[in-house]
Amino acid sequence: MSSTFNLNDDQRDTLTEILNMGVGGAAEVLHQMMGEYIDLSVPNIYLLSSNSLTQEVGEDESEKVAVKLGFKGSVEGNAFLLFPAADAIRLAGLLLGENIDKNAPEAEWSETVTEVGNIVVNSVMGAVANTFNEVLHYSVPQFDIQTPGQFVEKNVSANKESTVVVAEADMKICSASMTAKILIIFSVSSFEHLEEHLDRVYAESVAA
Amino acid sequence: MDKEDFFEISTLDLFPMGLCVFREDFEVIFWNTLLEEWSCIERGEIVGQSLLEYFPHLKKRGYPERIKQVAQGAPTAIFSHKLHRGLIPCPLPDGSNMPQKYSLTKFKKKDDEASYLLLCVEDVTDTEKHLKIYRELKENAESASHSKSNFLATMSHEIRTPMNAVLSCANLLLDNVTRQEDVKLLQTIQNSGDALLTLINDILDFSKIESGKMELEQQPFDLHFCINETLDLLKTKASDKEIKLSAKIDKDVPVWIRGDVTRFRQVLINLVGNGIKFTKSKVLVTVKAEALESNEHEILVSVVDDGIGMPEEAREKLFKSFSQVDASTTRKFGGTGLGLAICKGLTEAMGGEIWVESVKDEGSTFYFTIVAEKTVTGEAKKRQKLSEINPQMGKEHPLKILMAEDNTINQMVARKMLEKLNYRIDIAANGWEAIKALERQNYDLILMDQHMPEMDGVEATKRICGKWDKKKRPRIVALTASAFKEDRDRCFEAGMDDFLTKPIQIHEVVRVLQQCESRYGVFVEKQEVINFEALYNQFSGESEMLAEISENCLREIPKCMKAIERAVLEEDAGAIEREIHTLKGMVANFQADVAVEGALKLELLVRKKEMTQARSAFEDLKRTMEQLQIDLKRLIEKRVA
Repeated sequence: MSSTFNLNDDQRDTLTEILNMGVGGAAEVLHQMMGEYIDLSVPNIYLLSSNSLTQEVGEDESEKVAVKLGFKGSVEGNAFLLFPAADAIRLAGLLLGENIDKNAPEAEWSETVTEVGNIVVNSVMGAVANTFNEVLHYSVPQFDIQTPGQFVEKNVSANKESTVVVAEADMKICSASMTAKILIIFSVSSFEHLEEHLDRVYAESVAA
Repeated sequence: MDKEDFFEISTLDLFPMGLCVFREDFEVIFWNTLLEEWSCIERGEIVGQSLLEYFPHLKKRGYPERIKQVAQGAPTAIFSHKLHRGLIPCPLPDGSNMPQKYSLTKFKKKDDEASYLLLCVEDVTDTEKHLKIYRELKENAESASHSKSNFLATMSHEIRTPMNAVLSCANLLLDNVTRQEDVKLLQTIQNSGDALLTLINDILDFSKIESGKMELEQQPFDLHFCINETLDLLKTKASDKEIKLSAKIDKDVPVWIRGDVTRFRQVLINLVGNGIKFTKSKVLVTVKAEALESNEHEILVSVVDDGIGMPEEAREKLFKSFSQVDASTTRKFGGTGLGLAICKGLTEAMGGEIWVESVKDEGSTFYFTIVAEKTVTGEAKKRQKLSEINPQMGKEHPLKILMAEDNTINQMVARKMLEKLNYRIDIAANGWEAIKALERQNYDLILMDQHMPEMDGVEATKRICGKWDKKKRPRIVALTASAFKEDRDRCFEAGMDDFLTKPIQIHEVVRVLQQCESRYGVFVEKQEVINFEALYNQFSGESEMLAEISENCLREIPKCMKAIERAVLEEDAGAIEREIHTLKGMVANFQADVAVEGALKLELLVRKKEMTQARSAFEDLKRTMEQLQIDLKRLIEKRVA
């Protein structure tokens, strides 16, 4: 791994805490919405070069659902909530209280999954923006279903290497467990700003 | 701020979505025309009011938090239609709410410090409508598929039952004919019958594969034995064409694996059979194995021939699903086409693949793999020669056998088959009669047909298992024509111990008999029917006359017995009585008390209209008469001597 894409321990801890705040907020919203207790946590995060993303997302041909949110400001890039299509369908079924067949058309479940993705990613990026005290501008959330290969092709520039923050979010809902991945692909130019923000936040928290 | 000129209203009213603008404190600033129409709330009424007054449910379920997040700069929030029905209630004529999805975004107006929230409301009625159509179509398709399965299962049973009778009778006749022409005709019947049964099986299998309902057994079996036994079955076919058929199994290939031996054999027979059909001189089967994780192995079987080979285009089409099974009657089922499509379905169901490599004019190699768990090593099965039947089995391993079967042909077939092994059987025509027979005496074994009038096999079995202790009750073996695992599972759940598939194969019958404990069976030697001593005394010095009478009877008895047999089958009591009367007259000459008693017993049962027992008595009489004819021939020979 190139040193460009490394965060030191303090920076990584700070970012983990921000992401946990974000998913915690998301869990609370989901709980209020559904009345079900939903457990969402991010045990750890790690960084990758976008060139290694294929291995991370998976080299098999099984389809993954991605809810995507673009952001711009002092840091820019795209945030995703990514999970296997089968888990996405299962999640939708649990939330809707329906038995959704794995071959059911997307229209049966994609909107529900998009909303969950929207809640989680919004909450995470909201936590990032608030903690950094920055105003970020966002795109409209998008739902996509594709193989890992297609995902990488669509969202990673082959020419420009960028930093990817990967967090595995463990979800427990109605006694079913599943793991989703939160990916934040930062553009190269904004990675330095990310480090600066994290250092500042860390310093402020130590001072406090 | 003048709320009415907040926006270029006419422009926003062109939007094909409902639009509502409100402040963070929920005061409504804008309400477009479409939203007016949908919600039946006029713009003039709601603008300036709080959204919460009209829609108090927005105070709960996390809405305030999400709205606040957006107001504070979070990205657009989406509210999906299935999770948020009636967020902004828009009643439809049928009383339900319009299905809608919503998005909430923050925006700032130029030259205005304040920020506002824009709620977009999208009508997704069409999506819901399409989903409803999809669900109905799916239900109809599933129902049609279910009906089709039921239809196929019923038709399969209705076709197999008479087919089995045809084949079994042809088999039995083959034992008794000697004229080459007759043998050939019977073999034609057999081959055509076998082909028809294979076709029915293939159609059923294909249908199950297509609808994803192929269920495989997971039982331990000896893989090496299965492969060698399968090749044994095909050796005659190969040697008829002067083809060399051989197998080479790698030492790494596990002996005992868990899987479906019938389906594995089915694929192998299909490929080797094709190989024999197309090859010039030889077919070689090689088997290799590769160990995978957790005790599983991938078994690779290749079937190599040196035949005509096939071009690339033909290879591509070879395993294609044959999807026109339901098409018009002019469609021909090419045997190979259906067989290979089934092999593909079966190998895939067994976790493997199937493919072919071929060089034109040089030959082809068919490969298939399965994934199976290696299981506990059992004793390698001794290879039994299928053609060896022990006619002394009934004497060495006597059993008291009852058959519950309503079909008279099947009764006859089973009786004949067991007679070859020197067994006698009693017959019950349905479940009730079987239970009554058990109440009268003990049996070692019941061969229980499934579909019988008044009480079927499953019901009878349940009652027998309920009434008698397992140690006392007979072993119950199902006779089933069903190809479906569910039906066989039903048999086992009812308490049956084993099953035989129709058409019944003699080696399977031998297996079942061997596995049955001999508790009540007693072997009765065939006895001479004629009391020769008494007869010689009666006809002392008149051996010539005796011989003449014997010859006469030898001619007439078979005709008489045939007439009785026909009358028994037709349940023509009048005809039976007439013929028995004639028969009694003939046998009475020969001091053949057993024969006379047998004829009297039959006559009595017929008079009492106890037809099932009458049929049983007729079979006994037939055996007696066969022995009588042997004895008569002895008399004639003595005269010649």
